[in-house]
Amino acid sequence: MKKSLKLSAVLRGVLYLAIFALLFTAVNLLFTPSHAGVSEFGQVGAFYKEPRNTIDVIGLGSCNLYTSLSPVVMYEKTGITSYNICCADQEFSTSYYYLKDALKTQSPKVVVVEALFFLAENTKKREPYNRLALDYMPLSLNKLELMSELSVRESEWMKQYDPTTPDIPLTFAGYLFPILRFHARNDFNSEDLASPFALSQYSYLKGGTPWYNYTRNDGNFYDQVYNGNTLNEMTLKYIPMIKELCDSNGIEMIVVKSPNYLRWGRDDSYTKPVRDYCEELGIRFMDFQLPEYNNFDIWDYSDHTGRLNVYGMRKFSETLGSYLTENLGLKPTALSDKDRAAWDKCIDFYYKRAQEKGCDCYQGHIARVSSLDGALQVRWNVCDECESFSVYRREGQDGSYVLLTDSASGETYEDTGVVSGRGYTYYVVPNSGSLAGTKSPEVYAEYLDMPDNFTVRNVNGQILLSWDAVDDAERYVLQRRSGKSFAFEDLAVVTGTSFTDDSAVEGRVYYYRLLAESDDGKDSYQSMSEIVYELPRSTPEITEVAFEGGEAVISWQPLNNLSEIAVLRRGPGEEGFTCIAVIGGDETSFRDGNVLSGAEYYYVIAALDSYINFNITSEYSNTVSIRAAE
Amino acid sequence: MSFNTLDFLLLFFATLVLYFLLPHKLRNPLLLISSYVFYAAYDLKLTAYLVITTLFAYVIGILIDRSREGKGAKVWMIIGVCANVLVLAFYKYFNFLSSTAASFVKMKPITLKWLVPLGISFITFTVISYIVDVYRGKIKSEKNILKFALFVSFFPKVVQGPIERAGDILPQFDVKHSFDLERFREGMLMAIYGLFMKMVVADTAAIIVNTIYGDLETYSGAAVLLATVLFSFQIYFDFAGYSYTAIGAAKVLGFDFSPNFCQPYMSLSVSEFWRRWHCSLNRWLTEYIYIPLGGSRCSKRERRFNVLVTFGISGLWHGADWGYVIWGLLNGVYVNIENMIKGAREKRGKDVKKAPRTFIGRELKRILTFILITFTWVFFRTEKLSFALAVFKRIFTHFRFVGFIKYVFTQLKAGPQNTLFGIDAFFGVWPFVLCFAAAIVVDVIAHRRSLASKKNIAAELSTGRRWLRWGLSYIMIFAIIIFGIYGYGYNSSAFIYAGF
Repeated sequence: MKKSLKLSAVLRGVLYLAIFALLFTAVNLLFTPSHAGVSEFGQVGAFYKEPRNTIDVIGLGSCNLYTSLSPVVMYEKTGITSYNICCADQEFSTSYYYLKDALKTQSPKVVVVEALFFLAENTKKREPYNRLALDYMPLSLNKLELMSELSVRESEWMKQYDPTTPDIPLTFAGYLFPILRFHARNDFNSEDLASPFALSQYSYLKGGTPWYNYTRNDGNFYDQVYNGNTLNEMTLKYIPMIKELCDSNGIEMIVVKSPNYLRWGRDDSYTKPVRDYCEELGIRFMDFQLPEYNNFDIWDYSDHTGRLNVYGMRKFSETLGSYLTENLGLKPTALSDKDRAAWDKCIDFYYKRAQEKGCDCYQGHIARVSSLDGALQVRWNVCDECESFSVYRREGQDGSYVLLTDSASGETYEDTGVVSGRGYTYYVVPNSGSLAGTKSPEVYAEYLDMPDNFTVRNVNGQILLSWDAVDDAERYVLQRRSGKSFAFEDLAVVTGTSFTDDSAVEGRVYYYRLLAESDDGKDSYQSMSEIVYELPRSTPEITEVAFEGGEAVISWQPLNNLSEIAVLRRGPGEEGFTCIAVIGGDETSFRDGNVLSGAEYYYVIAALDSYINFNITSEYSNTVSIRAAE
Repeated sequence: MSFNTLDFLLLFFATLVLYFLLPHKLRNPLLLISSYVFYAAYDLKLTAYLVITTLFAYVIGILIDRSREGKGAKVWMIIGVCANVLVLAFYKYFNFLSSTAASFVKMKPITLKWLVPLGISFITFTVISYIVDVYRGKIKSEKNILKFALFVSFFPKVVQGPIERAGDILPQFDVKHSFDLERFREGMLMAIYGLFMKMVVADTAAIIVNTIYGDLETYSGAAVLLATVLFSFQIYFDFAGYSYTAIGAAKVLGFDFSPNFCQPYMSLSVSEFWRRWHCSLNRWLTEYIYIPLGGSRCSKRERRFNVLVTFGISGLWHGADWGYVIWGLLNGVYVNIENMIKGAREKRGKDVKKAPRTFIGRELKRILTFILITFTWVFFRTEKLSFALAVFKRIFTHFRFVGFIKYVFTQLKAGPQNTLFGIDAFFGVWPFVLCFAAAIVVDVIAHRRSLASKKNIAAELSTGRRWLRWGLSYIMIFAIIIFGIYGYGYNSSAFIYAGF
């Protein structure tokens, strides 16, 4: 009797714990935000819904990859199936464990690793990004290992900034049981109630997230200043591990640099360490920013963040797909009818979504018509086996069309026979290929001349902008971006041809953009001026130089800004100025003790803005000189 | 570590499992190790204080026993008590006394910056009670150093009590506890309820109180009054919650602690309140301060003086600031007034032990008691007299009830992601209101059961109605998990009494 009582007590205890575990799991699922499961922030959870062994290529990387590589477009063009197991700011530790876990259900032939995080400044483990990486990954030993790695780094890093940061065990527990973190949510809504298990909704876009912002970027790419970044420790630890994992599974590993002119700049200085490292490890490295790969038009294929927009993504995906099939001989997996139908559904979804977002991505259709300087540019989506298009135009929205050209090759045609203030309707027709003779939908656009002589001047601290009027422009939109932000924001809408920006802060770097606009009652049409790289920054002024106590001391007026100060020196026998120190923007003097007796030194200072990958300096100050005492 | 941390849960369950697996002779050492791990998690260096205090009290106890012939025992007792009081005074009151003295002589005070050992007030009172009890012959000095060290450091009670008598606890360490399912259930229910009181009700109330008290000028007097009333409940649920958790954890291991809170806000008088609030401290103060001073066996004037001294010491024990002293003395004044009224009624032949017969009469007395106590809590919360006066001023000069109601309704209508007194206007307010109401209901039920001499709720649930027991435990656990104040941005060590 006693034994049976004990046994029944144990069984009841087990039942109690089992019910608790069930309720706890449900609560965890309910409270973990489901909205990010299939949003642009990675579709990691949905990967596990893919049928086994149907994925040919796995993409691993950050937003730079999931906005570049569209698995749907690659499939449409080449039949290759792929999936981006990516989330924002994804680090290589995450990539490694994602891949390790993915290999339980898939047998990819190629793994594409995005290169951006090879050099990213070390590794700021932030909880929201770790959440994106972890919360949608099913529980497994790999997840526990990744959790452990990320918890340690997060706890160690965050404590520098917030002493109340939980210790490693609680951080780990918060990842293992998301409820411990999300219990304090105040954005709980019916979406969470309706889909408690929606963390891994099926993904039609297969981890690719097109950026539908197709407006021309501002071309405001910063020239890279190679600031000496080296490969970070995550790269050195995990890239070899990813390589080994690929090698042991017979997978080709490719590191790709997808175009991002903001991050990579125009020259090779930032790319070289990555390329050299890949060469050292015997990893194929592809720089898609090189002309040989793509003829990417950085104006039309990137958005203001430097990432590829939806059209750039199509081009990248097509190019990569072609490379994989033609150069690597990659043959797509033979899909079952059911799987093929599922992928075809994804293609439909892709196009419908693009249309909803105002982007026409259908083959042979006009993507958009935009004002250039003295022309309207018609851009269309290429179609299979079509080498040229015929372009038709009529004035306004009535009347008959005229043929502008019957041999437009590539993807664009510039119509220079336009008059500012007038509207034109276009359509294109592929001359050959699968859609030969099919007329595209008509697209109407008005042409406006670009405002000429757009100037920005800093006169005694006032920022004066002026420009020439554009015929038929109804207004001018001025936009401004301060040095450290990516996006332009509206500054003013004026009808005149000048504007004084009195909200500019002394010493900050500003970029201005001028858009002439007109309306047709339904849509607005714009032409954009050339961006002015003006630095309306007051150049600092050195007020004093002296030699004291064996040190050269230079002093200047305080700067009202958040910049740093670069101190540059030219010493005996040197030709130019060399930066010898970067100090805080609130400093007003610098002591240079590294001087030789009797030598003459010249000093200048400059206000310095440090960005992610580069620096911007103001004009140099006045030059002062001092001879070090004997 | 604090009770409401993951580390404590892990430590406790590991200790629990090992405790019942190990042979009896290894159980006390296990508990001792766990207790020191628990204490050291707060600050390893200050564990030295615990060790030294323990050894000192241990030796004093033995010396008292050996010196029973002659006056030696008394001398050792005085040395033992004074040494502990001096250490407590030095650590806790040096800066307070220094600043008070400096304000009189208009000099800059000497301020010492150091970590005060955690639970120093509780530990001091525990060892003093041991020393005095040995001296009084109530118990013999404990010869087993490990057992004695465990008595002083036993983790369920070391930081915030209950302050247990050595005579009640030490014998329990000799009992061969076997796992008892009913005890386990009762203990776990109490512990979970304690955590619920603390983490869900008290800590949420704390956010509201801190928000309003932290910015008096922004809020109307009505809001300040709300915060004042809420603080009465905050401190109750916080401290009682800790006590329930401590008592429950000990019970699970087979140890019985004395009840520490007996639904104090159901009291019909301030005197009754002090029999129900922090019972172990009041028992200690009665046995070791009030009675030695003469207690009630003296003239009325002396008795009133003894009451004031006892409550003044209670105030000072709670905190090193005048706010606490005023709080203590105010309560002493209340008790004296009640005694005077009681005396007068007794003279007129009234039966003073009988509660009011009518429901309204009883409830009016209860409400009056609550108001009187809440008034004193203002001094406790604000610590400084000037701040307390600012609170009263705000309540009486800027009440603005209509504006307050409008503000509350506006925020509630605005819904999630808007705040009302520092908590989310939907996901913070409604769970709090529900859980607060539930805790009040539990108190009322517990009070009724105690009046009818029935078992406490946890004991009742531990023996029958499995569905109810499981259901309530799940509700409380998930209320803690979902609505509890813990995690990122929440300091889990913020039990109110943890500074004592």
